[in-house]
Amino acid sequence: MKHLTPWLLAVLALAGCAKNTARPTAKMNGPTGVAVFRGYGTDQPGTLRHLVAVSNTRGDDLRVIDAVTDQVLLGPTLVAALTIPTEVRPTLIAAGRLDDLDPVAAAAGNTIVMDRPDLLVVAPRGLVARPAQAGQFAAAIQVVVTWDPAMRVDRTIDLGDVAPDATVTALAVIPAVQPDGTRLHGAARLLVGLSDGSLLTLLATRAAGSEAIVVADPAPSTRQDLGFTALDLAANAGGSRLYAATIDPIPGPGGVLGVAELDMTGPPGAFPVRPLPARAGTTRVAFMEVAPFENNDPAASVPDFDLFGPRVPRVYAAIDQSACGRDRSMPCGVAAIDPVAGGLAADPAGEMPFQLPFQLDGEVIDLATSGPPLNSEKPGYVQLAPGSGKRWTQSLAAISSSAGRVYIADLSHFALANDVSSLVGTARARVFGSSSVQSLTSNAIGLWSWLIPVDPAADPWQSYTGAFAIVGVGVTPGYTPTDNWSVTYQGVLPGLGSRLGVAQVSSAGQPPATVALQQDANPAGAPTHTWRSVVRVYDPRLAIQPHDIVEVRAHDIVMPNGSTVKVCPLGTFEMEVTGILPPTADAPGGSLALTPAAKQPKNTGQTEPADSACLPQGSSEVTVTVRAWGYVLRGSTTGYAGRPLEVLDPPDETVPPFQLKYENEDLLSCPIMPDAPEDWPPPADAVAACEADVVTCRATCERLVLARRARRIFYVTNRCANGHEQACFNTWVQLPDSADGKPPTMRLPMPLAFPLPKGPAVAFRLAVKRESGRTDPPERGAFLAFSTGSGFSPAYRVPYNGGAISGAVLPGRVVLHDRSEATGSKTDGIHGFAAFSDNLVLEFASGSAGQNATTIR
Amino acid sequence: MKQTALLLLLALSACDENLSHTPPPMDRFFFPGSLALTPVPSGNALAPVVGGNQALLVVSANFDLRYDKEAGATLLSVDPAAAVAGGEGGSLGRSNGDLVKLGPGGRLGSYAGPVAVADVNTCKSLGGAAQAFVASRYTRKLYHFPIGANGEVAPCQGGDCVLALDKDLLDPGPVSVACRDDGVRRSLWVSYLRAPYVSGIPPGTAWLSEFDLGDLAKVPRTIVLAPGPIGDMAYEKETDRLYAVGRFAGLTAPLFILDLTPCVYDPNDTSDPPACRTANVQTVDLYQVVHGAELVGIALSNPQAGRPRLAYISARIYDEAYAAATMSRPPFDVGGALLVVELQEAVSGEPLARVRQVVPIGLGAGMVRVLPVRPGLGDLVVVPSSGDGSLQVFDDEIHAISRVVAIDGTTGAPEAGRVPFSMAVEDRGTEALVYVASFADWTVSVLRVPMADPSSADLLRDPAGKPLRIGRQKQ
Repeated sequence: MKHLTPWLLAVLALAGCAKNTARPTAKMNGPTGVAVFRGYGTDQPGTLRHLVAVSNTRGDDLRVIDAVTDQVLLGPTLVAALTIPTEVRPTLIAAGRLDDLDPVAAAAGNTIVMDRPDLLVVAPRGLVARPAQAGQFAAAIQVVVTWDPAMRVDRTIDLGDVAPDATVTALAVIPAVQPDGTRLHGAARLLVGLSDGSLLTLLATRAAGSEAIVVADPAPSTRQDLGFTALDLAANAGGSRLYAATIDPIPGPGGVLGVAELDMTGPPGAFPVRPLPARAGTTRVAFMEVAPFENNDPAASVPDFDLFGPRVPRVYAAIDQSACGRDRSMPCGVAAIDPVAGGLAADPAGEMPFQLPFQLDGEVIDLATSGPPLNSEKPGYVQLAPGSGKRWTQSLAAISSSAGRVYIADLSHFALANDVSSLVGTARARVFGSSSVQSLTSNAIGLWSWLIPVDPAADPWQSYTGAFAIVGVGVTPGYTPTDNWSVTYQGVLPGLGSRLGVAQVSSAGQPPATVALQQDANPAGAPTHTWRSVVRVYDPRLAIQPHDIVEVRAHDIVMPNGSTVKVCPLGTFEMEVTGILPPTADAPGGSLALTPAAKQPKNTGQTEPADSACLPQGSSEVTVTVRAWGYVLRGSTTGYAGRPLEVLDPPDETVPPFQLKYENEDLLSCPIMPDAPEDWPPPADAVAACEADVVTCRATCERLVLARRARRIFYVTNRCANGHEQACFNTWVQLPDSADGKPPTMRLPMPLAFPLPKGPAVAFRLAVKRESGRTDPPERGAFLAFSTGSGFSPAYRVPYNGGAISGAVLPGRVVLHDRSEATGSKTDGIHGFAAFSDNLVLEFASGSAGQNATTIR
Repeated sequence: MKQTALLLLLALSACDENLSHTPPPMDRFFFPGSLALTPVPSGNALAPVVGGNQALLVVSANFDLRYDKEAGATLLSVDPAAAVAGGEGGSLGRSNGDLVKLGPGGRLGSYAGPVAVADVNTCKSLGGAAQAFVASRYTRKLYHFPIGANGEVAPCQGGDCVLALDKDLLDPGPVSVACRDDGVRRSLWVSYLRAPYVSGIPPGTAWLSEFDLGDLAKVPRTIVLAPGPIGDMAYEKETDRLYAVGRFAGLTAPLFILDLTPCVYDPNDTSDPPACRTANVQTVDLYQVVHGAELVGIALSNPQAGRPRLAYISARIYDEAYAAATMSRPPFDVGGALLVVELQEAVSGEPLARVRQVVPIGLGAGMVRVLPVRPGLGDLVVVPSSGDGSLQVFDDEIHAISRVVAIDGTTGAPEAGRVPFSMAVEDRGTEALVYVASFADWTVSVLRVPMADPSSADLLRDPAGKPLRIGRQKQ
């Protein structure tokens, strides 16, 4: 034993000396908010660092991450992550700089901004117990110590006296400005949006002789009644303008839906408010000075260097989901607002009345913007890395969505970054797959070749059916959606197949005069009606036209003894639409005026044609199917897309093809198509105005419906020039020469002009293959089907674990941080941090591929 | 040695045999899984006190089978009024946790599910005594208990209170009363949490059985919907529509919309199609808006002219990638959400459901309850998160959660009790009382919500600030 003791001691000593390299994890607990700030940590107490604060709504605390190393800050014991206890459910978090001036430099007349700790605040969503008033609850803001390595809550500001019963709905820290718009250095403004429609302004200043930050007490004089509830706040870089997202009408003539701009050079508590209309309310907002794409650089050898214009201010706002849609005046997504012009930013392509919002899946949870990093391999540029390849741009945004993703937007190129090329390759915008369906005795629907023969005498224009018909469809990148299409002869109009309806027969032995497509939720014979499943046949979106076919099937009557009485023994009969009647109390969706079809069908098992006069006098419950009188195009997602006409043989290229094409929707007025569903029926004067010239009115309405369905879905800014992007040029602009150098024998009917090409979503010339000498149409129901791909796969970031996506659900807030500012490295660039409900924070670099993102747990 | 072991084994098995027939206690709650309120016109306890005119029905599920499997769950009716000095008053806040019962209470099969009540509030046209309905997953039966004039619940007499359900379907659970004021519809809908392969329909499909409340002896009609066993239902009498949310059945979050037909079915009707057609069913998948969502509870907004009809749907959020990899529902949640869904009819007349807002809430989302209407204002909605024991009050007027009742700052215990899941709401005019069952604590607590100031909602407490409870806390 005596001899073993030294050895044992040595072993123990070595064990004690062994380094434990494992670092405690962050142990997130319901992270929802993130904010970047500068402060001190316990492990490097004298070093001011760039840090990320994460609010844990389930843990009721904050965690802090080093924004450069992604390491979680440790607590004083160094064995666990730093935990800063807060009030319950800390949901909102904000940080900002005070931009203190170097006093020595200032005394010499120079302006040098010092690196000093930032203001960091956190607030719970609901009310919390008031410390001084037992049993009472109020909103509160907590100021976190960033100027001392011992991070903690410095102070809880009770808002109960200035805003009783109101909760915090939005929080922001912005630069403080003076009345002349210049920066008030050494100070910042803390803006608090409240649920009672007010905005509270608190001033934060640097304590004399220290780095501590003092936030002034809330005062009634700095509380401003806005008249709307701010759901999110963002400021411009200098702090002279504040932007508030709201779904409430912003006070002003008529009440404006959009974003409110507050002039922060005014007195706190009385900032002038200017509405920025966005055609719909907004829920999230961010600001950015954006240098917009203007043109391609003709001298650049690499097709990703573009020419950008001077920086312009832009406000990006998430559109209220309940107020937008494909068939409405404002599409959903993140819209761009021009605060100088005072409304939606202009369409860079000069086609739509506004710049297309960024379209993405799910509800926008948060958005963050950034310009280029301070230090960059390409000064003044920031790099993005979508799956289609790295590219340089001037500004970007990160958008977190309830679909579990953080989308990456290229603000300068007006679009979400695209993971694929929309112009070349197998994923580009294209047609794939087609088929024709017809009976053995009928004619087949096909398409004339999209490419036009250069010399029709030498190369006759061909038509194709079946799988070969894909050569007959024209598409445009940026417009063509991913969809499955069908062109059907006398096809059922979308949503109008086998619908319950009520037919009206004025006197016995007569056919029905009208039919309303609706269902009575009350039993037959009840004195009153409760209409539901009301088809708004009067609404132009359903695209019913005179001469459309209405198939009517009567409902049999079941007698008490169980026997069945057939109301119409000869089966389903057909009517033709003669007019579309406005809504009434008995027909809240309107009704169709009818006349018997010229020829009645002979139903299965019958020897006689159907009888259109079989219904009894009065109202009868029927099942109705409405068919187009001719050909109808529909997409499974797009819906009704127009009524192409057959192009007879030989086709005339001077006659334009059928096109689902956008035209400026603001130039088309349809008074009988209210924007909001709850505004149905249209007002009486609008109906009267339309009925005064119903043919013109309905034609214009149809154009508006189709224009909205042909809206652009993303912007294409490639040059696509000959000798530069050759494959693109030969696909969209000019066909290549043959292998032996001879010019092509075919040409594109509508070559596209780049950048920002404009064209139809789909286009074609309809053909019918018949036996020689025949002119009859195809059989009812014969159709041609084809599919299109959009060439658009928006880039997004999600958390990974072991190479597989993990925890990509319900993200919260997102921030963007210039890491190069902290490191001075040109390769560091812009990094994003996004909180996810699954107890993690996702960190990603804008210039790095998705799989390289870091998951911090 | 061998003989001793054998005797010991026999003794133990005899003990086990005794436990399996142990009747459940009728003087307390144990794992209360469901609550309902029913008015007692004659009043009860003393007034003016909390809950003066209500009977609180509480289902204790016997979810751990510690009592008789066949009849180990209970339905008790208690006076929820506050206790007063001298042992008077109701059950709320009694120091010993005693219950002031209304009637002896009833026993039913284990794994008892939610309770639905057909009374003057929910089925005015039915007339007669109020009735409570509960399904048992263990016995696969539906139990109905008449409720006396003073809110009493009596034991089940013979077999009259037990109704057979579909023989092929399993785990009956959620029930919903659907009654129209004109009496055309007086239905009780029962859904099944588990369905095997039936008549060519794949397992995991949602099924519903419809009972005629006017004739409970009639054989129920059972219809099939789509994948996604139903977790909760809500009836809209204005349009005679039934809304139901489907639980996990793959990467989908179905909201079923049933257009009910205005007729009473006859099980003897053999005509094709039958004179009284089945409901027309539409399915809206909310998964695309919230990935990883499993829908749990649904409640409809108060109908108000000029305001769209909304559905408030609670959802548990799971790791989508985990589910896709394992092809099963992960055993843990990663979040919770309250979905605010606009219910409309599309231009083509088909029901539309559009997610307007996704509100993050705590883990373990439970049932949703909408508080009484505030004319001209958005609704107040209460939703519990059983995972962290919190209650959230959502104010649709400000589109945000205005109040969270979470944990006691001193003890760290959830103030509303552990695992709050089920609730019942009482309209008291200027305020609403929300009764919250704590599944793990075996008690019911009461959240008072001032309708004009919902942010100040709080649990009813004693003078020392401790939350008042109904029932004896689990030891």
